[in-house]
Amino acid sequence: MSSKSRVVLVAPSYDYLTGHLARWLTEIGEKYITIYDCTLLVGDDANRHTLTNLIDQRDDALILVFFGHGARNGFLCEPGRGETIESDHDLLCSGDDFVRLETIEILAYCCYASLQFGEQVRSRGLNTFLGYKGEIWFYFTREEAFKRVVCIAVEQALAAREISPRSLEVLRLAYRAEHTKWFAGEYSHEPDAMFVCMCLQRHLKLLDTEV
Amino acid sequence: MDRDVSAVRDSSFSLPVHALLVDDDEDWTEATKELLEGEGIGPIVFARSAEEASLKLKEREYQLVLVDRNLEQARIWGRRPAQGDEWLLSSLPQIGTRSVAALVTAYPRQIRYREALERQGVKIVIKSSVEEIKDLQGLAATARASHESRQRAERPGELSTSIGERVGKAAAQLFTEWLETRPNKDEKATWIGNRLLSFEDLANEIQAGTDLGSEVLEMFIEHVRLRIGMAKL
Repeated sequence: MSSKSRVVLVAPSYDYLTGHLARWLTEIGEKYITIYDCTLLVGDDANRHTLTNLIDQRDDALILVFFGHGARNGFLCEPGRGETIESDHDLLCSGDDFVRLETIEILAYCCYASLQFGEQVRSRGLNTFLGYKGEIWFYFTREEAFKRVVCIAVEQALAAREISPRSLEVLRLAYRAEHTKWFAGEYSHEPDAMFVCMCLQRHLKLLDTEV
Repeated sequence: MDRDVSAVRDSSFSLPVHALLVDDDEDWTEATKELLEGEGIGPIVFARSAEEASLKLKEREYQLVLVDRNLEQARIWGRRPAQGDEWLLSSLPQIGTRSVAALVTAYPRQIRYREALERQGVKIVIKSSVEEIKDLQGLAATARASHESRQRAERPGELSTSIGERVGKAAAQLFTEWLETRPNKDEKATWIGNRLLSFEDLANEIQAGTDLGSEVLEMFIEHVRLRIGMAKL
């Protein structure tokens, strides 16, 4: 792990959903960690102490990719590993944790965070926040449908070394392409294709068009 | 999109309410026209005889039809002079049950078919009585309200409550059946509402009418709209 990396991938792993999402992000991280000099905080490492230490070591810019549970005001983590809040989760980080950085670019693959947290980040000039405005649904029997989409967006952001309006465009196109496969393409005859389409439609609907 | 919808809704309150006044007394028709227009009725057309009125009825549907009993030139079946009450009674099938019809007269005792007319919902307005203006205002309000309500019920995309409920139940039944017939219906693999649920659990949520069930059903309907080309991704 490089403590000075500009790119940080964070995925707590403590329940069914986060277990799956952490595995996806680990696969991406392990594939690109040497190419793009990423820091991967997964499982126990995805805690508030480690993340804030990492932020404190930088004062210029940070690109943060988060997979997990989100709330309106921040990202969540396993109880005991963050700031205690009135929830089944702890608070991993919120907008206030990034104020000392010159720029922060965030891709938030989680529920709700684009609302208050996203607006707080976006309100600070050069910063970007790509996320969702509500509760996104998953269907893990066909997890590859969701994994393919988000992996395309993360890989593009790592390659471009930025999260920008282009990242939003890539993510939207990836959703549309995947939806087409299940709606009228190669997977459309699967018995559960309709439900995959419904979930993908919901992701697209809740994806914040403000970056 | 919301603005477009509200614009359509607002326009319903200025829907034209067509009226036909059948009377050869110009003073009365002009005064009545002014009063009705003030009550939101219009356009208003006139017929000065039963024959002319019959022709006007063929042209379109009227939401309000006012007929003077004393139509001196009125004729029906080309045989003899007819009074407005006789013409109105014979014309009710053309006027239709969706319209408000009234007979206007200064001499209510001379109405030969009063009972038959009232049985079919025709109102009697006494000319020059203290109640005349109030009665006409009441008729105008009834015609306007009934027309607007019918337009709302018939407008595509704005189903009446009872039809909307039936469609909602049919959609719930259809989607529940789909969920319950999946080969993996017992597998807990959907992450919805911060919970891990199976298709069978989702079917139960829909049947129980929970918030989560309603949200899933809404998403199903969005998918159907996309499938039938009524929405875009």
